Amino acid sequence: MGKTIAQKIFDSHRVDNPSGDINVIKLDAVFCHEITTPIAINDLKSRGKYRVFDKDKIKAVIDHVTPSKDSKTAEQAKIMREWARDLDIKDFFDVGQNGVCHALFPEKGYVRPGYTIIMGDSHTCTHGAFGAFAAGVGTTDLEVGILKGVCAFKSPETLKVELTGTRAKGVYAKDIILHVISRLGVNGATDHVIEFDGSVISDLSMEERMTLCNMAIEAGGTCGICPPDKTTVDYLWPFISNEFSTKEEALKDYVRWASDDDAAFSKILKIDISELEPVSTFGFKPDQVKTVKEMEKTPVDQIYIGSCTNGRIEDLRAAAEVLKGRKLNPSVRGILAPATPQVYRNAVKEGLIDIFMDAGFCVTNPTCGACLGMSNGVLADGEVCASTTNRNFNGRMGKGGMVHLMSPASAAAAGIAGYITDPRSFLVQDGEN
Amino acid sequence: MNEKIIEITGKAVPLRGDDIDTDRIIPARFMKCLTFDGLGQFAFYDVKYGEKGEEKEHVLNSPDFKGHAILISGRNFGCGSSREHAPWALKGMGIRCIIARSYAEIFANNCSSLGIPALAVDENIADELLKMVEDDPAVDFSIDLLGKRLYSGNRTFPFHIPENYRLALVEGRWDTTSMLMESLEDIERANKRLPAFID
Repeated sequence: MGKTIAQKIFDSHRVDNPSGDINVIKLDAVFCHEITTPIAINDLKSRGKYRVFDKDKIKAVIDHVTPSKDSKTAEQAKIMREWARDLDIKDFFDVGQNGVCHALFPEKGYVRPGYTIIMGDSHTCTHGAFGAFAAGVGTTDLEVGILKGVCAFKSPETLKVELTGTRAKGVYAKDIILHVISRLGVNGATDHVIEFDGSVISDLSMEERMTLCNMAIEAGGTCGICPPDKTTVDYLWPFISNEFSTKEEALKDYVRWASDDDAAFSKILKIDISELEPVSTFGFKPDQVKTVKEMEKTPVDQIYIGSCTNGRIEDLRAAAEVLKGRKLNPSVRGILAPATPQVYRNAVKEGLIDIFMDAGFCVTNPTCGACLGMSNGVLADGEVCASTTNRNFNGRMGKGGMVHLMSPASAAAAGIAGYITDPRSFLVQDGEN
Repeated sequence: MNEKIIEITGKAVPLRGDDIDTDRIIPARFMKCLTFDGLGQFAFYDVKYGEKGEEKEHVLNSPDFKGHAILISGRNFGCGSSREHAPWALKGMGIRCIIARSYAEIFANNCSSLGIPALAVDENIADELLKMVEDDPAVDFSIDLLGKRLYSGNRTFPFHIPENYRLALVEGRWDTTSMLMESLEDIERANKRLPAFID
């Protein structure tokens, strides 16, 4: 019997197998941010174990609330800062260099095919886009990971989502994943790795694959995972060109992290996306999805473009394509949070920031902030946000607020109209120029 | 070795609904803490309190269920954010055991590390238990983790819990931080035996 990607990764990282179904696996990286890590750091200190398993495998960032907005968040940041300094953690990103962890760390080249990664953050599943096993954990598991470089997981079962067909203009990775979640349900992949495969995946950029894998958790998945291919190698090349003499050699090495033809999947969901239209969520659960046409005229108060789901340069380009030469509806406020300093810088160079600002957007520094209702765009009671983030839970972006999840282009279109509307009417149609 | 959690007795709180996420259990704005102490006051904060901090009409505010140690809910309990603050907030409000139709994976794991049994029951049993508690808030429950049975009066109900979690609870090995910190020397040795991986 062949193996899935996740099974291959577990087999190569297993250091203990205390009971039939439980595997202690060795970690290639432990990612840390300032909301869940300081508690682990404090606990390690109190146990007299203020150290890390391997300082080069710890990657840390202050991203959720940054720059600090009050004394308490300043204290969280301070603990991270002192910890990185005391323990000589070099890959630590503070104000000025910091960005949303799941956008920043891939951009720095910290994720490779076949890696195992944990973080005290449920959207760690994003990094599976590189053919890695990456999972969100609680602070207890994070703490053990920081100290010992291991984490326990049950043997991975994999649910395969096979995507075929041709993507229509105006349909983005966000529309695809929202559709997949609506098909699976919010617990449809619980205790499972979701492996994305099929011709659609081969055509997706790494950023788009990250958008897909990022929301695996919204269907309950442990990790989203894409088989590494030429696109993966091209993205990673600046970081791996000293390891391999050619891209072909790298590809040859990385394709071993692909599921075998006879691998056992616990379920296979086949979706032809040819008929898929731009979509939006409508309720408080990410599987409550309708087409934007069905949501047409739903008024919005705020547009939020950013987050680990959709705050990367391709997302900004897609939104800017809709916004170019247009203004936000006066009833709407627009917030753009480029996910990393590099995204921000590139957006400036490409003239995208001008397009956003001309449209009337407020451009904030890279941070998670508003996505989880902590800062930089929290909603008031009764307000509605068209958002490119990943969770529309009741009160997620602010108590009493309503969040409609959609692609950056759809969010931009809602900003111009003042209500949810089909972004395709704002896009240059093929053949028009 | 931690406390062995073998039997839990107490009264219950019926919290109807599926997919109750960890943002509901504790909103992110209460995650500015530096330890997990004192989070009980924030448990279900936006469910329990209105805009001006006034208590809402809700089962979690009802004197009938105050101080009850067993939380009963629906499908996919604890979905969303991985925040361990969520089970800590529940523990802080006095919850010692959860009974639901199913759980999100990270939440179930976090409960296990805190010594909170997260028991899964079939839909009809969940419905029946919710109704029993709503009809009579004073009804007593007893959970036997050795016999894997839930008792109330002369009724018996089966439940599911992953065997590794159950054994960790009954054998007093649920505090994985303490346990692993003390016992990982074997793993460290194994780690050294493995060839360096990739880099």
